[in-house]
Amino acid sequence: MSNKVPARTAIRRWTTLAIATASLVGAGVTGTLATTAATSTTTAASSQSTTTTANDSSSSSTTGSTSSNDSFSQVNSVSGSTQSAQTSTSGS
Amino acid sequence: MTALADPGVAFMMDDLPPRAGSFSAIGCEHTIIALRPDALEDAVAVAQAYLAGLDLAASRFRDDSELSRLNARARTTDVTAVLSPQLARSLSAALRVARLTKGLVDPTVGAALQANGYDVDLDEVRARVPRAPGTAVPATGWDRLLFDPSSRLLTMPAGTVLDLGASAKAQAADHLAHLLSASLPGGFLVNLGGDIAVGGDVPPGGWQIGVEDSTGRTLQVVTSHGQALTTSSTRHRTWQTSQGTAHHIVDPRTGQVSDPVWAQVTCCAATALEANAATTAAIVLGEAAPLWLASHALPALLIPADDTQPPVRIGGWPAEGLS
Repeated sequence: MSNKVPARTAIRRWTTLAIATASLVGAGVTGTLATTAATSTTTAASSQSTTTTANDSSSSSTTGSTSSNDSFSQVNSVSGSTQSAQTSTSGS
Repeated sequence: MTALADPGVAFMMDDLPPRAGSFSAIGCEHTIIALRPDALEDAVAVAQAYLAGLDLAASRFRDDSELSRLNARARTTDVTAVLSPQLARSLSAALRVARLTKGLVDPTVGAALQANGYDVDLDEVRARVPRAPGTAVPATGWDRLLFDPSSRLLTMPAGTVLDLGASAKAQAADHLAHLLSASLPGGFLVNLGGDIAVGGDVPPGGWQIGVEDSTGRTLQVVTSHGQALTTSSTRHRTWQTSQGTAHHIVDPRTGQVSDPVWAQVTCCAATALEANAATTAAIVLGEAAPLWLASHALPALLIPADDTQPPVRIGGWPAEGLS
């Protein structure tokens, strides 16, 4: 059984959802740090979605400084899991 | 050396469990997981070949690399060169990261790294007697590079020392995840030294990825349904200087090692390149990182260096299972 979701299809599929949920997900910040002023309660949806929009303009850049309108793609957060990890990220 | 193993996951595909293969290259440990076990050996071979090419093109630590030869030429004069496709791909990625972070992550930071003592392979740095850091050298500036990806023509000013270490591995993870899923059956998770990208089929229930601290303790397991995941740490890739411990993430604005406000930062994003751009920029920003990440709607988990402080979650990062 396969769950294959081509990246481009996923991007199209979730673009609308991303726009609709963007105002809900917003920029939730939880936890505290003594020197960090901003703390609020996260309102993230527990969506299973993945990539939403892509903004890669690298192919059109002609100098280091042009194409400054590049921006991070919007993506829903990973979700918490109770399963065992298949692999891990620990920093480099 | 390649090790193939059953990753011990709790799902099956086509009645066979996925398989994982691990190997060392470019100074890191890497893991490839294939949902179709019969695709693993080819996938690992493809990844090893790709990383060997990347090392030859973009390593700052071998004299015969294309990057080292460019940097050597730029010691005394402006350099104009047509890059190999491999180096052009890595430089394009590095410039995109610089644009995304508005220069918080800058590929012209090489001289700053050298001044801080990271001038040779890290094993050699650690093996020698601790030295005093040199005078801080701010990055010469990514916006002073002239690069045309279509012709692969680069012009860089004299004095530039390129270092693509902040982005090349993440870009390689994205490239391999795409390449493997386009050319082999099933789905793949590509973990290059902690920079994780996925491609092709997604296992039922998603990919289960642990976030570990520098001691190897799992802080949390999260599920990816296509998101890439990376972590930047101030506790890995460290070395001793006469003034204390240094780490490898330099603030390009000052040329100094970034204040270790955070032990580590983990982000998920559409690509490993974007996630790595965010985590590296967050380390550079220090206390300003949470607001910056939130302003870009980047889901992130920040672990303070002060272990009396709790983790900080941004952009909907889950609390479930976080220890």
